[in-house]
Amino acid sequence: MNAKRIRRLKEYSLGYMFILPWLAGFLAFMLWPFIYSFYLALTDYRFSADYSFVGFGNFAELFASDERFHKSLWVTTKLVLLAVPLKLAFSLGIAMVLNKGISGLSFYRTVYYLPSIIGGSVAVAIMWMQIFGRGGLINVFLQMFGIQGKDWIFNPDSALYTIVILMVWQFGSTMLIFLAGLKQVPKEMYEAVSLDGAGRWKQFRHITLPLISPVIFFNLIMQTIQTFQTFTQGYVITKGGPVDETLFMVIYIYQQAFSSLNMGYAQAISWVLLVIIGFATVIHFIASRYWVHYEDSDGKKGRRL
Amino acid sequence: MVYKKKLLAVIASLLALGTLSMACSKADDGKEPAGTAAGDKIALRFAWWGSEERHNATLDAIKLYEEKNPGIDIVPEYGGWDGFTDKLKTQLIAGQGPDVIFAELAWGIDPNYYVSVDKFPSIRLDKINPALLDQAKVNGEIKGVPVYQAVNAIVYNKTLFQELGVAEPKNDWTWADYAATAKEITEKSGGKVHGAADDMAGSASGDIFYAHLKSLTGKPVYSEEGIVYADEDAAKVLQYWEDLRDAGAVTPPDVAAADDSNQNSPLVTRQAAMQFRGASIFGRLQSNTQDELAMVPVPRDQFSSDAAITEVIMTVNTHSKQQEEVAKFIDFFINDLDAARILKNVRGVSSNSEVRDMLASSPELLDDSTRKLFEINSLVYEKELPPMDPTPEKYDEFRGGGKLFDQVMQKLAFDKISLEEAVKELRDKGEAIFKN
Repeated sequence: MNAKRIRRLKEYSLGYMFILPWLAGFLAFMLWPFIYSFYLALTDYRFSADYSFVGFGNFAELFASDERFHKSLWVTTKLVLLAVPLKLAFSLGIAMVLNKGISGLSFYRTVYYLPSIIGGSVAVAIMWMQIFGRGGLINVFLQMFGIQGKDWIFNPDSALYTIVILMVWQFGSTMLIFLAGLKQVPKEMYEAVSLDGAGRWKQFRHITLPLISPVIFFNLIMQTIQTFQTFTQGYVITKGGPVDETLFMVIYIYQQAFSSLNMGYAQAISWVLLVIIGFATVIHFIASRYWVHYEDSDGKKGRRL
Repeated sequence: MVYKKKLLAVIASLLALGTLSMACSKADDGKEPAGTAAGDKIALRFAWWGSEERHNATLDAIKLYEEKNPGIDIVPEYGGWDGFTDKLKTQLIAGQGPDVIFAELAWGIDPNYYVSVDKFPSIRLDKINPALLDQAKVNGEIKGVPVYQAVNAIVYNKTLFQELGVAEPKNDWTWADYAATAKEITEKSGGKVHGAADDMAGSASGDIFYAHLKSLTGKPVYSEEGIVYADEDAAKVLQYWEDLRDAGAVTPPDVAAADDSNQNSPLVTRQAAMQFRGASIFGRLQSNTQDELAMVPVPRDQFSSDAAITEVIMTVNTHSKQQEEVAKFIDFFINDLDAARILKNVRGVSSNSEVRDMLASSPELLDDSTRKLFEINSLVYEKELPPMDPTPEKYDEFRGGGKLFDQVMQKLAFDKISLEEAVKELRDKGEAIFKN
């Protein structure tokens, strides 16, 4: 080895030294569990030493005969399809209002961000029951019009929607990102088009939306991934019930793994979830070519995969 | 200068590595079955669940034990009920867990994780109700000391009964009386109060089904192998509850789903006037309402539904390194009268006859709720009681909280399936569970 290589090796080793804490954590707590989980998904591991390799048996059972799994797939998909667009639309709306240059912006920013922090807590669960419960706020309001309400949370027909509303209510982080995006849009553009006679809607449609489309895309991807992994909201408020109407996939994974101790089976579900999330993300990227506009891409849309 | 910076960087990363490896070795410590000496003291981990009142009493009892035994340090691990069983199951399987365990055999944890308590001469079992001890046996070995004599009861809102002018239920009443009373309450309140909570759709569904079916047939519901009831008998029980639902005599199913046996219990929110519950939670329900609550034994049919019920056992973790010491502590916790004066009835009426006699003769120790718990307990247990059916393996998957039985009953109550489908689903999926 010549002196140069030795010196370079020294430099590298220093670099590795710097990232060692992260690297060790990544290897021990992410990569290894990741690999091991796939191995377990192919077994009937139930925490005891004697278990056997079942190949893709778990997956076959999941898709062929597990009705609760089918239900959890359907319920999770419904949640994503409802909660993600609603949340994005809502947080974009609020961000646009805040972007109007009202005074006390930092106060509102903080206030609206709060629900995102406390979202999955027990306190919120109790509050939600106070609002949507049988004697809750909504029903008191309905009663003024002579309508007899029901328990919205613990009714199979409405349980999921109360969770959707909860998730929309936690719009803080997406709103902040939108707000940052909106601030980037040059004011001159609005001035220019308004001189040409474009109204509010046209300004929004042809200036705001294209210019913040990368931000929308980012939020869309992040929210889709997060929403597929919803656990706390469903677990704290409804425990997956009633009649499995809020049995999101991660709750089902938890139940199988830690309540029924079918760890191998639970791993199989989590791998199905991973594939679904990966698939959804790829779809988003492909679709993005048709609607996401990058200013530095000479008018071409989308990023290459 | 550059050299110095490099040195600093190396030191910094080494430090980071150091903390990391320390964190790892700490985790290893945790893995080791507790009982490692803290100073010169022997530390015993002790886990339980419950409410504030139970926590305080238990902590006081622990303090007393530590005063009497200066060499012992009891490390309490306590919290609410949510997630307790899941945590314990996972810990035991991982070769860890508390030294002193509170558990139910019905939770489906492999009983091999518990050391048989009859192996320890320091645990005196002579005062413990033998019918309860029998049920704590697995393959002839007593897997834990029954903590209390469990009793199921119908808890009712006495104030509401009086307001509506409905006759209060009496001991030795029948399921027909129960239905008639429930309907009367719904009628007299103009539908504002339902006669009873729909317990067949709630978290106690498995227990009330068992009690109801027993009183109807007197025959076993479960055997070691699984379910042994006849489908037509099960259908009769479910039909009875469907009829109550149709008559509006019980609460709508969403009320049962929201019920937490605490402040959202329909009994304390005045949505229902009667509810089937384990009598040991009476105090908790009473503390959530200004109304006066009372208890009466579960209705009967041709047969009584009463039984000697072992629910919670206190036992020794096989992974514990201080099993002798754990045994001594268990003996104190169950049999010591000074401990009993502190613990009173926070875990129900004791399985130990000496403790029961002591409490019965010290009324100043008991408040109103615990006295009522005492009364119904003696009323039921003064009879010769049959034991509960044996607990089949995988029982928890069939009947545990939120498992198959609860799911099917909820679907039926919400009209998602028919009664025939419910009975069939219990049979088919139940047998599939027990066959595995």
